[in-house]
Amino acid sequence: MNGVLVGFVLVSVLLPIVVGEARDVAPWIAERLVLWGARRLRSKDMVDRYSEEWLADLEQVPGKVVQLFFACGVFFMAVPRLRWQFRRSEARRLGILTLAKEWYSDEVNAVVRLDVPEPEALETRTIVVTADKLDQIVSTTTIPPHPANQTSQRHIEVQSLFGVSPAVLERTSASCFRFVMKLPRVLRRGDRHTYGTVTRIPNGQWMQPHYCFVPRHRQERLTVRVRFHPDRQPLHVWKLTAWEGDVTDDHVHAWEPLILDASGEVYADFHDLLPGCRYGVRWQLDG
Amino acid sequence: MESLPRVSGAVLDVLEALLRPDDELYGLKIARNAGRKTGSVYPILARLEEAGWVTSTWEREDRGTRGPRRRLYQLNPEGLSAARTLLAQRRNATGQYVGGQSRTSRPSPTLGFLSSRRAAQ
Repeated sequence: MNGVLVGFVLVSVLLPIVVGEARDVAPWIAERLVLWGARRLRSKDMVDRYSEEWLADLEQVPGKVVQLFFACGVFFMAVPRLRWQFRRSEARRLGILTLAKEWYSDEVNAVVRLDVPEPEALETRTIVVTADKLDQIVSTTTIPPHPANQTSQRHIEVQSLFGVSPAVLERTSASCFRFVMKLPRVLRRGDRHTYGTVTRIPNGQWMQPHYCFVPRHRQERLTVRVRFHPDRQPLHVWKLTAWEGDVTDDHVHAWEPLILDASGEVYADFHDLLPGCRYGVRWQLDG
Repeated sequence: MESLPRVSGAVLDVLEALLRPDDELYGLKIARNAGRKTGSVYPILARLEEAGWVTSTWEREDRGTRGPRRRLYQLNPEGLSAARTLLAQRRNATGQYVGGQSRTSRPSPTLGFLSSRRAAQ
């Protein structure tokens, strides 16, 4: 008898209270869910845009519980798809998806020299062959325009240091370059090969204050060393790890600060790199 | 303007919703008109925008409310033409789309997210 009474009290008194509370808190949860989802888009422009757009649309949804359904739809369906789309379009913009999937980089070591008249990146790369045969390597480099100099035509020079012979350097867009290198011998599936190149930005062209690497496949290791000019030391330097958004100063709070050593250099080491994400170093010079 | 690499039934429904004579088409309304879940409509709108079919703008701030602005979507002239052609090609086969006019018999649920997913056309 007592059990029945307790059950009656629970159902008739407590359940409506709990349901009422849940209904009252649903709009708050929906708003948080929508904003949290928008923040997962990473790029500041996208976060700002979709936060406002989804909040505005949420206001149009009638009913507190239904608002929660709307927010769940955004969070669990729209956000993952948008993240995938943005990552894919970014990869396409960088030319990553157009490259032949015949090899992948296992380890890349880069030295960026800003202490010379023409900034240069010396890269040593160890690749693993996944095709049956491989006699050339196609690689891409993007030199994004500097905000203060958007319109000028950009040029780069690429030289082979060892392990490859440069064959063709072609521009695929205003800021993207495709570089075809001949291997010294035909490589077979599973072969490892190490080669070195130097990429220069000639003629005093403005460059974005960062060096970023975007792996095509899962990559074991990347090291980046940046050597600054003694007369142009940076105010701040940051390390970008698995970054998916834009590389602008709007995101500095999310990056790990780096300290210059006595040689005017910074060093960053990355492991288990994820495809499509950015890894590298960003700096801010005085003026 | 780029061609769409993959055109699903949901994409056709969204295009059809965008063809409606309405200058205040925001994501939720498009989802309702298309009878699709909002969770799938926002990514489709992003794809259409990236491909250059659709342009989006913030609504005017003098709507009388202070708060988040709605994002309004519109087919641009090229997108309009391409959408009509695509719909005519795909829908004519099933008799569901005639001469650039939206269907009036389409169920329009209160909320796109709650609507059941229809089979691809």
